[in-house]
Amino acid sequence: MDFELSEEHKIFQRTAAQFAQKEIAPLGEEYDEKEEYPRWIFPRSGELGFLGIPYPEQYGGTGPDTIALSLFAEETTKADAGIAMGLVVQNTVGTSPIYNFGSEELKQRYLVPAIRGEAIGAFALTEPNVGSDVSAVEMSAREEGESYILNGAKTFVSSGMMADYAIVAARTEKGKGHEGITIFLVEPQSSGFTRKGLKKLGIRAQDIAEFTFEDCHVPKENVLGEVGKGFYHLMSTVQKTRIVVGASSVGLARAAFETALRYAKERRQFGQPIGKFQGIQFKLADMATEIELASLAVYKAAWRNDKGEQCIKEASMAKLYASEMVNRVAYQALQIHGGYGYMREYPLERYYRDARIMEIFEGTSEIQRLIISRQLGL
Amino acid sequence: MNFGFTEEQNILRKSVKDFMEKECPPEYVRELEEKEEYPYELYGKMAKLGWLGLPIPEEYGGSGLGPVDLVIMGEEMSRFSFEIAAGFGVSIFCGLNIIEHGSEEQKKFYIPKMIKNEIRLSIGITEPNAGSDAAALTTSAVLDGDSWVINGQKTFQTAADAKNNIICLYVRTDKNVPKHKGISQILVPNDTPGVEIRRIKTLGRKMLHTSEIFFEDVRVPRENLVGELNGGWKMLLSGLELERLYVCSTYIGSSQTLVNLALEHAKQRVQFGRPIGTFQAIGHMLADMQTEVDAARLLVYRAAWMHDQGMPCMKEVSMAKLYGSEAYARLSNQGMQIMGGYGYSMEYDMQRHFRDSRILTVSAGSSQMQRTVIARQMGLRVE
Repeated sequence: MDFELSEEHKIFQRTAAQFAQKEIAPLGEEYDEKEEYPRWIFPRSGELGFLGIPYPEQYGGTGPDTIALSLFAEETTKADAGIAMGLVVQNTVGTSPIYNFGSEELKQRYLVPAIRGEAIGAFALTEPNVGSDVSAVEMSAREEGESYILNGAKTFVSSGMMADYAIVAARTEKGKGHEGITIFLVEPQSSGFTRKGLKKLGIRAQDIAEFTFEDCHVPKENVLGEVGKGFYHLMSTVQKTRIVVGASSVGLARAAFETALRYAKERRQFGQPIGKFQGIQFKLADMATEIELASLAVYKAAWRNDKGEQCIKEASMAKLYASEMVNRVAYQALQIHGGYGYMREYPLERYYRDARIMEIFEGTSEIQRLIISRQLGL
Repeated sequence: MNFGFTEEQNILRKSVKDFMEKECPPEYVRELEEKEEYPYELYGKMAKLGWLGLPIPEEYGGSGLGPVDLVIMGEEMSRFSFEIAAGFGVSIFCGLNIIEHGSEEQKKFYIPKMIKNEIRLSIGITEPNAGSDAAALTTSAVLDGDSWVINGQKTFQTAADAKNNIICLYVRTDKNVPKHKGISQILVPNDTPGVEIRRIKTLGRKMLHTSEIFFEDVRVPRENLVGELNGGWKMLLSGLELERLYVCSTYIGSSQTLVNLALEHAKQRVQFGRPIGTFQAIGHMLADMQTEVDAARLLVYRAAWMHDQGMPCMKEVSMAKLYGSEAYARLSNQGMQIMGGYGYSMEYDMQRHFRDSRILTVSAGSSQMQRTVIARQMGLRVE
């Protein structure tokens, strides 16, 4: 047993923390308010090597390294969840299908610039009627000559408005459930493609969009992986994304906790700092304990993933526990701040809004429980 | 045991429901919140029906409704909008306080205007350094000839910036006595020179507005003092049971509405080939949610009944406040979970419940203060 980060990981963590605190944290409040992404963070992150953490050097990456990716997600989300999500998407679902299933040509054309932060990738899987049940994808892709013709709608598309390309799952064979789904790489200039931004409660710097496809032509060479095997392709890499969302949850929880701890030491009521009251003390003790436990679960799953070991259950447990934990922590951190916690001037209400998505995206808590149950043989 | 209501109470419930259905549909609530506008128009319509006077004693132009009736009103209004029900209470409880402690002139001057929706009343207690420890307030009023001269700052003031609003301001009038004994209540119109109100941006409660108020040499006539000089702390606590009771009633209607929204979604949303509500995890979640709403409602009804019987009920009211506010926040969290990404989207109403409910375990006595009150009522000398 060894719970220490390696020397290299410690250096990476420090570098990521410095970047996050210096370059992301000061933007959090403003871009949440503007509901806009500070796009230059992408090339800047690329320059520092932060967008190729899961990929090998030949494409400009620095990995693969799930522990480093988790550290990066934790530190950036601690600085601002909305901005961090753009970078997390780029390091995971915004690029991984290209790396895992794309031709060498597509990798050179899309993955390499994405790792440099020069092209932003979106990931479009969810549809109005297709959420947790991914195998129900309805959007159709019809073969015609050298193209596929896409028709349908996607929603809750991460990085959808700013994307230079989108990874889209569509059905190439009707009525086949898990079979018959294919992944496409679509450029937003394509005819028949339109997009619209969506308003959401939190992570407001990050953009989320709705896509509409009306006879949108996609060349056949833009198919990622095998035709009809898209569901299996996508599911083969979800563990890593779940671990990373767990790490983001830990980062956000640490931000809320540290703010609340400071406040409990400073705020005086009834003649003493409120942190002297047991009602507040024990809340903080519980929060610190839960953050520690979530962090252990996340890094254990990341460690297993890096060793190439099976970690479906561990990844789901880490995501489930950490995402629910950050909501409890953000709730209590706001409570400790009383009225100040509810005001926009303080970051607590933002943490509280941002935390809420962690239990919903990348597989809801219910889906994680389903996966864990199945891993238990139920 | 009797869990029923009188014939009049059933009629009252129905008329509030009918009125709100017609005048306060979801689109109206969304629009007001989006524009962050105080519901002047809706309260105007209520005033025409005499509703702003319903809880006011008959001798001051009201109808003298009791605590159970008031709870019915709060519950039914809040089914349509938490904020509209909450704002309704803000003026009325300040008015009732004036009726209990004010001079005959004050009552005759302010109360009829309030009932007619010509003026509004808001309460001014909290300061940057006086939150749960309200008696630590430092905003001061000094008598200078025939005027009070007020200096200081208040914060987290609900609906203080509404048009023609009078602030029922709690100030320090004696610094040389123990903190509870040097507080007075003075009426300060919000457009008095020297009063500066600044909006504070908040997570929710966007119609009513939350503000901080700065007082710089604000002068109001001597007769704006309510009741006895330095008797403010008692006024602040008087009527608290009824006020808190009403506040709790606004949680239960809102909670029921959000459970209905989640239930409707669970019935209609199909995933894995069936409505998600038929999965045990979601079905049980909704069963728990409805149980919690009913528990919260019963705690409120019991406290209202005790109050109506003239029994002391501070403990029971505090329990209803503690449980109801925490339940509403918890339920909005679960409701959002059931709706998944749609719950997080600003196009749907669930996120409003999530935002509005979050302040309720903080405002009107935080959950921590309610627990302290309950524990003390149980004979524990909790500090």
